[in-house]
Amino acid sequence: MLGRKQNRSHLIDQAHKEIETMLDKAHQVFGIAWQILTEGAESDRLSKLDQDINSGERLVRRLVIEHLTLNPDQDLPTSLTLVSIVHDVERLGDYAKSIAELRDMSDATLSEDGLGQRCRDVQAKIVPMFRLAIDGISEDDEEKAADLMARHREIKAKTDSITADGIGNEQSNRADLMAVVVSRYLRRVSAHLSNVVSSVVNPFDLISRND
Amino acid sequence: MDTLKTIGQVLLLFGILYLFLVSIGLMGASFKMFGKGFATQLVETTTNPYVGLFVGILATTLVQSSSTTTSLVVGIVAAAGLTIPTAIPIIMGANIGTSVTNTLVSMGHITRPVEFRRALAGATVHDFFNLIAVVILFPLELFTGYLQHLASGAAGVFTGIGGMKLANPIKASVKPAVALVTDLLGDHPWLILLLALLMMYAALKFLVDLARGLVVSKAERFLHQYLFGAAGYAMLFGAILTVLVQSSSITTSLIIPLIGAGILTIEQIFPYTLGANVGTTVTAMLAALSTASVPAITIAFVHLIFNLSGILLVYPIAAIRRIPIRLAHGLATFTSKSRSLAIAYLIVVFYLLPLCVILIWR
Repeated sequence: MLGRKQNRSHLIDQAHKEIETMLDKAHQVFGIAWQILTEGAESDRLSKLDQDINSGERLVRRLVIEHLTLNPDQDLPTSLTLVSIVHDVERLGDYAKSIAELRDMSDATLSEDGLGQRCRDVQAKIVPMFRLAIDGISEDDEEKAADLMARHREIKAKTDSITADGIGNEQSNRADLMAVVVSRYLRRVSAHLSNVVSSVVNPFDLISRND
Repeated sequence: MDTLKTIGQVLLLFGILYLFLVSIGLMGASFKMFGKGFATQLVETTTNPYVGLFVGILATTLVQSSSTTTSLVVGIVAAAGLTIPTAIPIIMGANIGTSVTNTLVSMGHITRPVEFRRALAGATVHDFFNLIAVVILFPLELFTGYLQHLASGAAGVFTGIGGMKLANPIKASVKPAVALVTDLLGDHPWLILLLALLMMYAALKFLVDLARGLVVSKAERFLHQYLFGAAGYAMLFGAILTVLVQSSSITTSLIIPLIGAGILTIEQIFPYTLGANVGTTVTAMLAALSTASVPAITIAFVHLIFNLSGILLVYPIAAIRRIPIRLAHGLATFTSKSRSLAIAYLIVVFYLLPLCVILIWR
């Protein structure tokens, strides 16, 4: 769906590269945000990276519309796909940043056992998915895309289970509540990564579907 | 394979350009056959400069190409069918008429009010600039003849530095084809004139279509680089792109969707539009060179100097530069409340008003 690199027009190629850069920055945001949540680390890079991702979304949209204005017949499905997935990448940045914001919203911390530990395990599984997403879309690699989508299905099940256990237990404490919220954010991060690579394997009308 | 295709397209481009130059030559040949009486009659018809101005507007809006009108005028001037003073208002009118195309393109956004308001403002800034330039420079020309003097001077310098050495081979290459057609059609000036007009229209249309295919797809990296940058670069980009595609209508219409989408502002596209106005003068210059006629070259310089004068008049001072931009915003805001007003503006300014003036004053 995203087309071979050598056949792409200049602006579409530029848009493609920008999405890869945005994904890399979202990866960094995710790492920094997790350190802030779990270790109380401080970073002034987070906001800057998030702003860069937001600017990247704007740039991709501009590049695509400029391309379509001049060459409406060339790279049409790719253009529409890029506009669709760039929003997923932008959401990735937002959800990753939201993980860090939880630290300021509550005194509770993510425990190192129970639901908290299960969240930590899920987070560790998501980290390599960013690289897989970048490689999947830059190489138009169906295997990597399918692999990532399978990993997301697994994460979806794990995070749903954390949520169900957290809200279904009358004994849940504030740390468990924190784990429930974190698990929902982790699920969204994983889902948006899956949405991005779904553009490699799915037809245009099924982008973002992971059945 | 792509290289071979491009070579083929470039060769075709030169072939069509040759046909265009032949059409100018045929026009001259037909006028010679008509004789002096016909030329005098034609000059008398357009002696009134106001009529000439509106003839230029109407002719250009009908064919949607100022290059066609200006090349036609150049061809007739070369054949002594029009004098330079009578041709100047037609050239000015052609400048106004050419902006109808991007205004028409902006109508494509009519179903989305906000988008339409932006697109119409982006399109009509070209209209208002050309109208302001004519409102100031037309009377100035009537009273002082500055355009004619400057253009005659430029043509003099051009011939003085051996410009005709450039023009003569072009004329010589066109001559055999013109002679062949006139021999074939015999003593039928109307037939030759009709063929010349058809050939010129078709050649310019194909030339623009072909050049668009060759150039526009490759222009996208420059569009992003220069249109969002400094005004000088945007102006230069507008001029060069127009020279390459031989049509300011194409270059100015091309960016209307980007204005409609809010990607580009009127302030950003204004210098690009002005550059396109200058770039479009190259077609008349080519036509004039093929005639190797000093009056024809003079009228081509009139077109160039008129557009440069307009830029010098409006662009350097911010307060003046804002006038066409504010007028375009004002018109777009006003007509966005009732979009039929935008259609009325288009019909009245570009078609009805010129037609009425021509019918009343001729």
